[in-house]
Order: sequence, then C-alpha cells, then structure tokens
Amino acid sequence: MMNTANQAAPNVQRSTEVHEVIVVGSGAAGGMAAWNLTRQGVNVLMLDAGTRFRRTQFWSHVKPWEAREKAALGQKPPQFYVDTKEQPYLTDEKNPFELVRVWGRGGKTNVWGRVSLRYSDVDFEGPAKDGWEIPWPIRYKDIAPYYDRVEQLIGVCGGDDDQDSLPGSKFHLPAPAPRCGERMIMRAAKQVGISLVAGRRAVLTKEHNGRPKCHFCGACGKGCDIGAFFNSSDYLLEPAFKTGRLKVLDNAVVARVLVGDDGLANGVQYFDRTTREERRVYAKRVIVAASCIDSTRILLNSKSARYPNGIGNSSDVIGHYLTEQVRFHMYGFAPELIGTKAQNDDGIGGEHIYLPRYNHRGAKRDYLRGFGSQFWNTGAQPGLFWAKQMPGYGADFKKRVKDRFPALMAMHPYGEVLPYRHNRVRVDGTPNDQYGVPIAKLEYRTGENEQRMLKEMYAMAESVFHAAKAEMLPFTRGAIDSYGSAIHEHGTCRMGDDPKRSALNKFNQMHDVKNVFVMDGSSFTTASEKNPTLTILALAWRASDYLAAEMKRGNV
Amino acid sequence: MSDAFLTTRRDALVILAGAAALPAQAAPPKFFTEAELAHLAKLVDVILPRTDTPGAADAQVHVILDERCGANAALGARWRELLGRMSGDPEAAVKAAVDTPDFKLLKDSTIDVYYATREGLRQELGWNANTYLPEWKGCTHDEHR
Ligand SMILES: Cc1cc2nc3c(=O)[nH]c(=O)nc-3n(C[C@H](O)[C@H](O)[C@H](O)COP(=O)(O)OP(=O)(O)OC[C@H]3O[C@@H](n4cnc5c(N)ncnc54)[C@H](O)[C@@H]3O)c2cc1C
Ligand code: SF4
Repeated sequence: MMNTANQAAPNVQRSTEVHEVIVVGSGAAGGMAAWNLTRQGVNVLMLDAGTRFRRTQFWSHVKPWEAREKAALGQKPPQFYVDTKEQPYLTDEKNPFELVRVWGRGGKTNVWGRVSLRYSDVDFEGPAKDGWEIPWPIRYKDIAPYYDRVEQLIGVCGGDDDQDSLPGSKFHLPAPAPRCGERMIMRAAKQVGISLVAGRRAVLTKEHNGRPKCHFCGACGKGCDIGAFFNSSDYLLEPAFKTGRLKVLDNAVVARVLVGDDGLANGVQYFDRTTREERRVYAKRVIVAASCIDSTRILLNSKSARYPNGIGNSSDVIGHYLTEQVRFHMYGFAPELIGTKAQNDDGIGGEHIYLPRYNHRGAKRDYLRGFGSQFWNTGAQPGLFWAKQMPGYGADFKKRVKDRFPALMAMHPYGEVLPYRHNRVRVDGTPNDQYGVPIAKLEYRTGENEQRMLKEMYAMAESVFHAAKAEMLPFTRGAIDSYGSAIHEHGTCRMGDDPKRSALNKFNQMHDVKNVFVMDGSSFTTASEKNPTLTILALAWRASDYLAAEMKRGNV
Repeated sequence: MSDAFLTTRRDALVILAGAAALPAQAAPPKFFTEAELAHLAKLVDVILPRTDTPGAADAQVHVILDERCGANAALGARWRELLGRMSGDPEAAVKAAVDTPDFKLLKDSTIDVYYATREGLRQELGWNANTYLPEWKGCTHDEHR
C-alpha cells in the first residue's frame, strides 16, 4: 500500500522531537544551508541518503595499473556513484537521459569538475529580454555579494580577465599556467577573434583557510585525498559539526515531506537504507536539497489532500522545465607537439582555460541564449580513447599513438537548453522502488533552438582547430553527447515572482508553503551555458540567510 | 618489475629481458583454455607489437582480458566467438578482420588495457604523472605563446 504524506503505517517509528530545521541532502546546497544556519545559532537535523566517504580511502594516487593489483587483493575504491539497480529511474527509450547521482555526505561535490563560473546579467536577464518563459526574479547585484563570500570560503582560482558574460572576483586564488596544448588553443582562438580566459576552478592553488594547497596530481575525479578542492563534507559539514548544532542521519532516504493541518510542512518521511524501515522526523521548517531530480521526486511524491499535486505545486510547474546543456566533444592534435616528449600535464586536473560566452555580441543570432566551452583532457592524459579512432594497427600505429600522446587538444562546448514544459520529471504511474515509493521518470528532448545553436557551436569549434592547423579526429557535425551527461540538471522547481508560473520566490521559499525551501539546481529559472555549483552555493547561502532572518522575525 | 621511471631505450630493453626470463605465468587462466589464451596473446601483439618497448603481450594484455572474461561470462562468450573466427595465422586473421566488429573489439580492448599498464602508459608513452609536485609551471615555451 502506498502511504500518502499524512497516513503513517501504525508501526512506523516516530521521534517526538520537533527540530528547528530539517535539511534533506548534504551536497553543495544542503551543506551550505546547514553550515550557514548552524553558525547563526540554528539547530539542524540533516538527512542524507548515504554515508561519509573517507578521504583516507580515496584512490587519488593509485596508478591505473595498480588498480588491478589492488582489486586482486579484494580492495575497492569508494563507490561514489549510485547503482541504478538499487535506485532505479525511468527514462524515454528514444531519448535516454543519463542521471548521475552520488548519495552520501557531500554528494556529487566529492568528485565534481570544480569549474566555478559566476552567472552574469547576460544569464539573469536572458529570459526577460528574449521573452522565452518566465524571467529570473534576481539579478547579478542580488547574488554578487554571495559569490564573493562563497569564493572566500571555498577558494576558487582564476584570473582577472573578466568579460561581460563572466564577471570576475577580487578573491581568486592564483590561476595555474596553461599547458602547452592550451596555449595553442588560446592562440588559435585569438586568430578567429575569440578571447579565452584563465579557468576558474574551486582548487586551492595556495594554502587557504588552513587547508593544504593542491599538489598538482590531476586525480580530482577520484576524489582528492588531501581535500584541496571544495567538497561539502570537509568544507561545510565538518565545521558545522563543530558548532554542536548539526546532527546527521546517514542512510536516510527521504521519500516525502509531511504536512500538518495548517498546510505547513511538519517533517519528513524516510526509509533507512540499511534496514528499509520507514521512519518519520519532525521539524518546524524543511529545506529540500537532494539535488534537482531527487528533490523534485520527493516534492511530487509529497501528495496530500491539501496538495494533491505534490507539495507546493498549485502552479503545476514542479516537475516541468527540466533543463541542462547540450554539449559535444571535438579533438585534434597540435602539430607542434606531435612527436615531442610527454610532459607531466596534470596541473589542477581539468583544463586551465575557459571560453566564455560571446554570441550576445555582434549580429543577432537565429536562436536564443548561448554557449561556452571547456577543454579538459588537453595534453598528455591517461585514458587513450582517442587512439581507438585512429586507423590502423601494428608497429606503425603504435608509433603514431606515441607521437600524438603529448599533442591532444580537446574542446567541449556547452550550450544552454531552453526550458520546455514537456521536459519533465514525473512520478505518476511509475513503478515503486524497494521502499514502495514511486520512482522518477525523465522525459527530455531538445528542440530547434538547440539545433541552430549547435550549428554555430560546431562552426566555432572547427574554426579554432583549423586555425591551430590541428590534425583532427573524426567527428559528426550536429552530434551531441547523451542527455544528462553535463550533470547540470535544473529548472523543475523554479523560482520566479509570479506564483502562478513558479514554485519558489526569489529566496528559494515555496510560494504555497512558507516553511519549505528548495535550494538546489531545481530552483534555477534557466540553465545558462555555465556550470551551476558556484551559483547553487551562493543561492543557498542567500536563501539560508533569509530563512534565519525570517525565523528571528517569527515569520516562519 | 621496478616502479622506476624508465627513460632510456637501454633501460627498457634490460627490463624486457628480465621479464622474458621470468617463468611462464603461474596461475591458470580464469576463462580461456591455455591454447585460447596463447592465441589471444598473439592477436593482441599484432595490434600493439613489441618494438623497442614492450608489446601488448609483454604487458599481459591477454591475461587481463582473461581476468575480465572470468568475471563476466557474456563478455567471455563474445571473445570466444572472436577467437573462433580469428583462428590460424594471427597476422592474416587480423588483416582479414579489419572493419569487422571483431577487429574493433580486439583493437579497442587492446588499446584500453595496454595504455593503462606500466609498460604501455609509463614505458611506451613516457607518462610519469599523478605525483606530488610542489609547484606547477605549465607551458614554459615562448614559441607556444
Ligand atoms: C563528474 C562530475 C563533474 C562535475 N563538474 C562540475 C563542474 O565542473 N562545475 C560545476 O559547477 N558542477 C559540476 N558538477 C555538478 C555538481 O557536482 C553539482 O552541481 C552539485 O554537486 C549539486 O549540488 P546539490 O547539493 O544540488 O546535489 P548533490 O551534490 O548531488 O547532493 C545531493 C545530496 O542529496 C542526498 N540525497 C539524494 N536523494 C536523497 C533522498 N531521497 N533523501 C536524502 N538525501 C538524499 C545525496 O546523498 C547528496 O548528499 C559535476 C558533477 C559530476 C558528477
Ligand atoms: S590535482 Fe590538486 S585538487 Fe586535484 S586531486 Fe590532486 S591535489 Fe587534489
């Protein structure tokens, strides 16, 4: 039997304590909310679907060949990614959406790419100017002070080479010098009139707030064994524990937000991931921050007589307008580097350069919004996927691969996808998970606007490689990486000024249910072409400041 | 084999000679028969042969593939089909298979596995990263600006 939000099975364990604030999820959004509230004297109960990943067990310095030796001894690296066998979701077979989830303290920030770009008013004003869907309820000036604070707290390296589409920061740590191949990309881009900037990344290129600096090992994707890049567990939860005001329930998979007779939220229902038991905990305020898709699923499953459509969803926008970016990958070899000796190209892991959006300048385009580009994998990087795309075999092939190893130039343009109502997360009519809770189904496809933008994205990428006189790997114009692969889901519980067309106000507070806040990427009105986490952190800081102030005023 | 970074061709050859002197690998195959494994060693060596650096078989690519097949029966069945079709003279078998799914599987797997071994990644390509550097210099070549 499915329990609706307000009917508990008789044997469900309930704690009678009413907490000040419940936070669901411990990633960028939940971690920030918990850190900011506890330091302001608020007691927080956090529920997280996993447990802590211990840095001492990361495989940051396990070489590729050592992985096999360790596996033979029965050792395993931390299992960051959620297995869909345990936690399934549905997707459209014709348009599959790849959902990447990390459950456990810190969420995806344990392994994130760390690219940290401020949104600009080109982003915040976009929808108001072009009229596609609702406008953002905030502008750059509303969030700029929070970007400043976040950067000072977590440490973001970068240059002072700002552009109108990429606002800068007084607080950047030193930018690492580009690799050889990146210099060649910069030079080539300049020839075609595009100016690249130093990458902005949440990596400590010098000691910061007592945390050790990066030792340039390039292993970030395996987790950093010294914590030299921001992850929510070390940077936010640990200091929050020190206040004595944070309690965390690990392995607590939240299913629903519970509602009282007054229409306000009064707690959450969750399932213990180890025992599968249903439990309930109560609070005066609930912050949902389980990352975009999981938060949306929780909200839509929180059905009650009062909120038949899911909590806070009188506008019927929750679950709709799922958006991220279209992206592709193009590779070529820098002629000057072919046949040279391989260097240590690790750096801070990921690229040291960035191509900011420029298409809002110059002639008006036949599509809306814009794109930027990243360049990871440039240089002598392990993982020779590209060699498979080169023809031939044998001794000559082996030599050609070796010669090209130092010379790879990689480009990964990201283009904003418009918010479409038909792109959605749904839970109606989907099967239940092992706890009896409906799973999410993702329906997603991009449209003509993205097709047109992709034409320019491809033309741009080709022109840069052409200017670099690169020897190209094969590519298909217009092809894109799988939906979801950007791992930047947004929009399914969007903020806006109009309660009929948005679920949250500009402080991430539900229009309908004043004591529920949704703080992750689902709150974004649009996706922009940029990576979202810096903005998620800034919005969560701002929203939790507002919540703390409203609590003091007795308003919530 | 020592973990030292091999810089010169001479070092590489010394190590190779050392490797050749070792007794044949002791553990029995996890999936293939001895004969299948021996043939697979020849096939992967056609893709990436021994030159002045180790080849795919020197790097135990066939043994690693055998381990993977031992852990995944469907994968093993797929490879056994391939071996059935690519029997006989290894050079000729690979040449005849070019453009087939068998060739793609053989080539892609050999590349994936070989360039993740000490021999492939460190010795052949000269990769010596994932270390602890006190400073990051980046590109220091004026001509690259
Ligand atoms: C490989 C990779 C590279 C990336 N690169 C970048 C990048 O370069 N720049 C960038 O800005 N972003 C990047 N991202 C995205 C970035 O990680 C996310 O934007 C960010 O972590 C989102 O924060 P969040 O708090 O919304 O969600 P998450 O960090 O995913 O945290 C969600 C939390 O909710 C918990 N949770 C989930 N469901 C439940 C439930 N039902 N009950 C209780 N708890 C639950 C999880 O355990 C987790 O703690 C990358 C992500 C990945 C995986
Ligand atoms: S490159 Fe720096 S941030 Fe990345 S894992 Fe290594 S030490 Fe950590």
